[in-house]
Amino acid sequence: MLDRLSIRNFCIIAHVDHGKTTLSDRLLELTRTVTARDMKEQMLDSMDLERERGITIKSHPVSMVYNDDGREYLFNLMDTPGHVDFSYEVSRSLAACEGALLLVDAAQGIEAQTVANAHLAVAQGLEVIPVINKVDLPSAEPERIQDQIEEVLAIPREETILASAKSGIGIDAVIRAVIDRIPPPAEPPAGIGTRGLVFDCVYNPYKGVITYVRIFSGEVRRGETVSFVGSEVSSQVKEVGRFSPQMVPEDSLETGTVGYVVTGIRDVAEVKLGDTLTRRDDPAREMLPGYQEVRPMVFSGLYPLDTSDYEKLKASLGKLRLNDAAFVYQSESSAALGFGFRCGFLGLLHMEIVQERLRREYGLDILSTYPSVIYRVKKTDGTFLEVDNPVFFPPQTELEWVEEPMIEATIHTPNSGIGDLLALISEKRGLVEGTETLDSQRVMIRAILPLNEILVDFNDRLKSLTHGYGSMDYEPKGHQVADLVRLEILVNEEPIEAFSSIVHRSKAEARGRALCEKLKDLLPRQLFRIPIQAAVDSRIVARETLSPMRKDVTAKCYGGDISRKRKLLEKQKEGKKRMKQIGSVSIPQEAFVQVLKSSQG
Amino acid sequence: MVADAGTVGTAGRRGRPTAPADPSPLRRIPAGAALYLHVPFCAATCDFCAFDKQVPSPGDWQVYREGLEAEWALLAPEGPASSCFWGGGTPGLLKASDIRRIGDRFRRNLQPGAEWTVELTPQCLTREKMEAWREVGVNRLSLGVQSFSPSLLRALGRPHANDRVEAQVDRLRAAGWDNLNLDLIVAVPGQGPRELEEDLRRALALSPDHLSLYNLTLEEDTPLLARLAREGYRVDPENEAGLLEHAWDFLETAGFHHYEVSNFARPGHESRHHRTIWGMGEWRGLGPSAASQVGSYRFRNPHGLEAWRTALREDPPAVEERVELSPAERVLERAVFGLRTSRGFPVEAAAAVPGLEGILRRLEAAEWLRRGGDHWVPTRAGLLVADAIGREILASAGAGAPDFSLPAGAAPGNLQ
Ligand SMILES: Nc1nc2c(ncn2[C@@H]2O[C@H](COP(=O)(O)OP(=O)(O)OP(=O)(O)O)[C@@H](O)[C@H]2O)c(=O)[nH]1
Ligand code: SF4
Ligand SMILES: [Mg+2]
Repeated sequence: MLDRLSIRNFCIIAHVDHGKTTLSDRLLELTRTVTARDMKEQMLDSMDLERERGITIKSHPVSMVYNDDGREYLFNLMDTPGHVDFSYEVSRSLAACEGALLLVDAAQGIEAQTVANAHLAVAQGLEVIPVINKVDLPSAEPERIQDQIEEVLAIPREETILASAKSGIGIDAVIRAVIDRIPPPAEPPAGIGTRGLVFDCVYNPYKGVITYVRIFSGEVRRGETVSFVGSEVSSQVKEVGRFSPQMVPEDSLETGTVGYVVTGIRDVAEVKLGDTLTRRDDPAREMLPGYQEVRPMVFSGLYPLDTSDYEKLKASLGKLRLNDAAFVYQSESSAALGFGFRCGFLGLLHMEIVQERLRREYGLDILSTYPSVIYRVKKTDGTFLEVDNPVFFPPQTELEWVEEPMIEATIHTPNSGIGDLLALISEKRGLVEGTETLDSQRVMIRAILPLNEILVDFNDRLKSLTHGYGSMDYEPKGHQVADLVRLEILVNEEPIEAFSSIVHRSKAEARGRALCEKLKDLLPRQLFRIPIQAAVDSRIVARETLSPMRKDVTAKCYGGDISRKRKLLEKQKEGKKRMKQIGSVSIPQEAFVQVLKSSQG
Repeated sequence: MVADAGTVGTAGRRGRPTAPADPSPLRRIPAGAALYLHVPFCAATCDFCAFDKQVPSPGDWQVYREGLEAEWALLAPEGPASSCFWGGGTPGLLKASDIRRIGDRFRRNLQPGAEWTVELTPQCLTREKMEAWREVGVNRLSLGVQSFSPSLLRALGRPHANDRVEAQVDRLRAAGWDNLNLDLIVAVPGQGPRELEEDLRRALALSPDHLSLYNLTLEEDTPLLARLAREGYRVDPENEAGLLEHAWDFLETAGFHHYEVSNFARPGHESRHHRTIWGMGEWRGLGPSAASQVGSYRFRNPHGLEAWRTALREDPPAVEERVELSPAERVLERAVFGLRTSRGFPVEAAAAVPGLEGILRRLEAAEWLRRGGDHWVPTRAGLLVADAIGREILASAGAGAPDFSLPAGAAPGNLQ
């Protein structure tokens, strides 16, 4: 086994799409971790959803052995996601590393998550190596980007590496820098005990809970008894190993390295991310720092379409949560929707991904209610409450005031887009705090905005205004009083809870109209004329009418046909399962997803 | 059992001493029932067709003929049938000798002058067959034309050319066949109002007494559906509704009575057989996959020549999908099927199922139905949504309504 000094633990961080996963591909090839035959593009994006969407969702660890002129090094690499909703994944990975490759797209330059992730890495005390990627692009401007890096991140240009992950330029230089500039794992203080940081987990139906650990001191072997310091659960080690990138069993995991540990634990509640793994015969003197609890920003109700799937949904949420610590859930029930869960997410993409994973990986048909943030409410009777579900928003007559959560957004944009962008910010009830010039072509705007305004379509609008060159990062920034109301959607005169939302009074009508129009497109026509209405405090502010269907008839109908028709009906009932019957109308699962993609205002 | 079950004396006159006094519903052929004979063979198969059929290999005909005889022997007719329909597949493929042998058996069990239809493609007409049909008592021919346009036939994947239909119909007329039906298909990909009119005009020029105008249904597991799905074809219900109404106007103007969603007749030439079935009367089907409704039972013969033959080794014959319908279910089905026809559904019959009247009134308020004398009848708009009406009736009337028996809405095979 390799000694501690030959180990390099590092991650690749960047803004979305700057080429992290592609650079990982090159490293996998160069170290022959994956044979040419098994190699495919963006190898580490192993989830179906990642491959379909072309984005990384989870951090993926992989161990590689590199032979540097006769001396072997063990590289433990983590490819991280770039999207702002998954920054919690990034920070968890950083805690397991000593260094970070900070990729910057040679054409796009520094973007919002470039800065955010660089700051995270520096704060964790990591050695940051800037790599300007995609220098093969005709529009690449490496020199300008070097200026930006000096300017914004205060890293001298001599320290940047020019590379192209796609065409294999500069990969040797990257490896050289990993070996020479990233420090090996620090020598653990004597007598501190065996300590491993649990930085990720998955549930495997055969093996139970599999923990991903970074060993800071001591070592872990198969057959030993280990325990989790925080949850105080102990168990025997069934298997240890490393990622190659699939799991490969080994005899032990040594000080400084990264790998996985299979214990006999099957109860997902017994393992927590950020906990410290230790050995019974070499117990940790104290816990590793661990992780901060994440605070979800967006909440939505998740319900099984088929009410009898409740238990299955509950079990699936538990398993999924093990692999995605950034979402939280708690049971709730609704008169119209039955039993379900109120879930908290880091953002809308995160919400979408969790739902999609439940549908695919766990085979569940679910619906989600319109997302909401947490409002603070003072009622006229002097009581306070926090509302994350529009259903519990008190009637106007009982409201003394409402405060909504705010964010501070950092928006990077080309100069040319700035006028439109300022208009967008003010449309979203935002206040610009200041602008900073990044270089001759780009500026950075800082603005305070209500969180609920950026949820649904802010990012898409930003991208389209700036032709894809704008980007945003944000963090919470207190609360502010606002004139908010509950907007209800009624289909055939029945309020559909799942579509209720809390909006600013000035926008209720426009949002109501947009939602009604969208639903008119999404709902299947029925035999009867169905009114679709938006209401604030039982006052109708918008209305559409779903016209009755025009044609729904099959041609043939004779004796020999009847038994066949029965089969058709059975199949159709299967299709119906994808619908939620609310009162007199059936709402397709699809509508709950699509309705989000509508609202302007 | 309900209504007419067991009304006719069952013993004695059948001359089948082995039959018990109260025969199994699987053996009964009630008096006045409609008979259906399924012929599971086609000369070549069409891409859009989901019927139980195959291109016969040598020997199949014999298996089939013997099967029909065996099936007939197992059954216990209780009186003459009111109509007979020889469908498929392509019964027109039967050889003259087979027509005589099989036909003879059934003739003896039909009311005098009863409607007897044979389905055929224009290609299988020969003098010899025409004579054989005449001899056994067939008096109505149904020609599967589908379209006169070579390009639409190609679009359907139907390997029969229709360039000689006119000449063949002339021969039929000359031989004295006057009761003719033509089958046409509407809403074939590539068919617009112009092409549709052209087909209708050529059909009317043949002066048929009856026309069946079927909206193309893309059935699951058919080569046509697979092909269109690959080509990204989408069914457009608006467009289909427009085409159907156009055709309906055209035929009504030409003097045809639109008496069921897909069927038109010159007054007095409505098909007795179809009416028995849509009126939820009784019918007994023979042959592979043929369905039957006898008393309160509904069932189907096994699919495929072999399975059917095997099933006939049992007495009573083995059947599939057997269900017994409650009186309320039968009322609901009468409503559902009746409301696809111009006869409609008797107003007083609704009282038998709680909730049914209310639904019919709501459908009336939405102008899908109207009162015509003592019946509820569909409006023209209502005919276009007959499946949805059927679902509405089944779903909301009388808890425990059958969830199996009815035309589901847009057939799932449709690319919607
Ligand atoms: N021309 C060029 N394209 C590149 C290069 N590196 C990556 N790309 C392309 O950039 C796109 C994004 O690459 P990824 O490796 O998925 O980027 P990522 O940073 O992992 O993206 P996320 O994980 O979603 O944040 C892909 O289409 C790559 O083919 C490069 O050096 N040159
Ligand atoms: S449409 Fe008629 S001829 Fe064509 S395969 Fe079907 S049954 Fe046979
Ligand atoms: Mg990636």
